[in-house]
Amino acid sequence: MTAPTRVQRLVLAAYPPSFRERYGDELAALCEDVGPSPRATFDLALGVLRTWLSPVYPADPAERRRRRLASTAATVWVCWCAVFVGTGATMRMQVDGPPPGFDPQQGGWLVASDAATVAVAIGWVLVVIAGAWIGIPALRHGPREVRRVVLGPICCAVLCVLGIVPFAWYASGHDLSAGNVMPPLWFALGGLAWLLLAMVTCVWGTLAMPKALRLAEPTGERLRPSVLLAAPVSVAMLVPAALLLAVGVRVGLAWGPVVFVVTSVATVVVAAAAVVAVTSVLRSVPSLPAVPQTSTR
Amino acid sequence: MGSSDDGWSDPGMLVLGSLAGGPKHGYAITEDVRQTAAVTLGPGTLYGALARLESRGFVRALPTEDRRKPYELTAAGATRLQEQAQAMREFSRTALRRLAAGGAA
Repeated sequence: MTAPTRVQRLVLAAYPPSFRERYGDELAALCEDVGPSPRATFDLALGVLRTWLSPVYPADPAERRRRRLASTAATVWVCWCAVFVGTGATMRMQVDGPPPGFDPQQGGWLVASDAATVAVAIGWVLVVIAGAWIGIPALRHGPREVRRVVLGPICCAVLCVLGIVPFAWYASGHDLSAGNVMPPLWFALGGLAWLLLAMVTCVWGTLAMPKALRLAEPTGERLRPSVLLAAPVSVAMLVPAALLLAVGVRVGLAWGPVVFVVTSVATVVVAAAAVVAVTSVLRSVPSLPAVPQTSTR
Repeated sequence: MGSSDDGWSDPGMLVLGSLAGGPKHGYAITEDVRQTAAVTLGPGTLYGALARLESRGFVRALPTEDRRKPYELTAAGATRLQEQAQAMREFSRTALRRLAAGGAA
């Protein structure tokens, strides 16, 4: 009997939290019994992939439905974050280094940009409503761990919003687009710090919300409206995904290989996230409780 | 892992077949399947199958203090195994009858 290798422990940690809670100890014990081998590690890695792609739910029908809905809510949230970051980064990169003859203020790109912005804005409104519907009761009545998990990302998000103020204030008094105005050092360093904070907020928030959802254990009735709202959110995700694909195909390599590769990868991620979100919502439809009941959880 | 050349390679059925002989924990199931079906179930494959079987009510975990939790077949699991084994026996009979009749070159 030997302890699992470091790689095996890492792979075991990659299983979905609910699976790890139920089978983690047993699986680790089996790895000790079987002994470390590349074959066993590879099999574990395949197991991780299968479990994430096709989650296992408990036998109890009510709990099964609840887990299904919670899984959809978490999946749509993660996909939404991927679409939001991927869309913004892709469109920014395309404008930062436009190829010769490409004017971002004209033609299809402008339409695509506006449509994606509107879709993302509508999506955020729906996401905030859906999140608040589950989140506010969970913060009020849920376990203390829920507050601890979401406090960090929420503080970072508030700092991000407040952090825009000094930049907006400075930019309102100086024409930075003219090209002959050099921004001060604090502006450049502050901008980098803000960008770093924004990235931390995105990653932390993306991971923290599903964890909080798992800890809060909202009822199926509580999850129902949020999952219903996830349907238009997932449709909103399809808009920037389709537009990014269309723009990418039209202009293609004209942006240069680096921009093309990075934006292509981001576009594929955005499109995949949108498809996953739509699929998850469709799969959860049979699990929606027929008659919503009042609940405080 | 979790596959073989004999066709009898569905991990879920292998686990049910093993538990038909009595409750076993993960390593005991792996060893039993290796001996009876010549299939090596990897840890990920085995627990993926056990989780699905448990979620469908075909097996249940027995209470224990040990990390190595034994599982036993439920009545629903026994019925499922019976149906599958019956279907395989019918298939085997048909295949053997055809072979005996000279259907293969």
